[in-house]
Amino acid sequence: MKFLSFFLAIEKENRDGTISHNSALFFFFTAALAILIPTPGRLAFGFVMIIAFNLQIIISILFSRLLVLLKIETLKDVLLLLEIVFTTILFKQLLVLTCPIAALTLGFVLYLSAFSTPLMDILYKTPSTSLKAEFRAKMPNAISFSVVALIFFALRDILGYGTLTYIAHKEVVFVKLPYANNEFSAFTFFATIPGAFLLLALIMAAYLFISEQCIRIKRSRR
Amino acid sequence: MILRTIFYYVMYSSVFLLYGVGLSRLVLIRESFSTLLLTCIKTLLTTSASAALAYLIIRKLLVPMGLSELYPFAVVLIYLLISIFIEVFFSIGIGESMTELAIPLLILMLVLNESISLVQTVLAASICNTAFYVLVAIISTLRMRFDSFAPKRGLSVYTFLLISLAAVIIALCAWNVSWLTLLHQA
Repeated sequence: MKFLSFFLAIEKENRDGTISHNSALFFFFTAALAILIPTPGRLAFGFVMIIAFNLQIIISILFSRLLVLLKIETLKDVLLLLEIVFTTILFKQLLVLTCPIAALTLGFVLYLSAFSTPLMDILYKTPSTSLKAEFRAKMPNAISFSVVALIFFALRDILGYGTLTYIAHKEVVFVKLPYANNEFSAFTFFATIPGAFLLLALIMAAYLFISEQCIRIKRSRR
Repeated sequence: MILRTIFYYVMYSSVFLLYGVGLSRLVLIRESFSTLLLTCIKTLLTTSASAALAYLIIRKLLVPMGLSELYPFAVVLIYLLISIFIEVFFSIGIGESMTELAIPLLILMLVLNESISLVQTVLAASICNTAFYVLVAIISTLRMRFDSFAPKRGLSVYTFLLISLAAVIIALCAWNVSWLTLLHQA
């Protein structure tokens, strides 16, 4: 339910009947730029980034619980930072073993994801009570973001390159879509970095439009 | 070499626009001019010193031992150490949060990854840092304009900012010759 409310609450209706933007979602979108923009616009690489992002969150939650148990929370900031670096190095080495081409292409971008604001916000801002409560508080946002990010990467792959890519053992498989030809098309722009910005802006605008219409329909039914 | 490095990291391969380092902070930053100036001076000092020290440690210690993949650890530890040193001895404490630390750390990792000499490392780190605050000025101007003129309903300020960032990148990279190939194909 939280997952759905995160998406549908882009605009909220105030008590006086006026509509205001839900800035949390905009913040999350803009904060996610460090993951969405520099990653190559392929679904396969996006998938790897999302795995890295979620793995980082799970390991960091467990690690911060360990710090609480060991009663060394005063060093939490520095130790968590080092843990994030360690997990990223480990993930990169595993990627080198399983899919070297993805490790080579992503390289520095993996560190960008590790230090990105959504991750830092998710990990540092919510106070920890119990492990279960911490997972419940942090994972829905991470999963919601993962879904939006995958849609974004899929759109860039399909529109920008005319392909669909996925990770296989030690390789990245490119499936050429039937409508795509080798010629340059206007949609190729979405494969570029400015195109990624524009696509993100379009997605945000579309969300705004849809939620506004939903509220209007709800109002007219009353 | 100096000019080439400056143009490379400010325009052709901007750390912020093409690599996306600190983009979120760039869009959401709302500090006053004096705070920004102080932060700029502090991070400039810290990143330059950390870049030099980290380069030497990586070259003289990690590379000979075959542990170059562990360089992010060295970067984080050196940056934290120098940051604390500058805060204590020069009294330039900004009280950085962990999210703000990400930008100088990522700049350091990138320049240490790409540079081939000590001078280039320090120069690139300083340029990237300065370029961020130049971009902050541009983005703040745009946001102030959108805050005043954007409609209260409909597209948000962030949407306009994203489109503006796309325009800034197109303007900076318009002279990139790879576009000519695409136009030729069309």
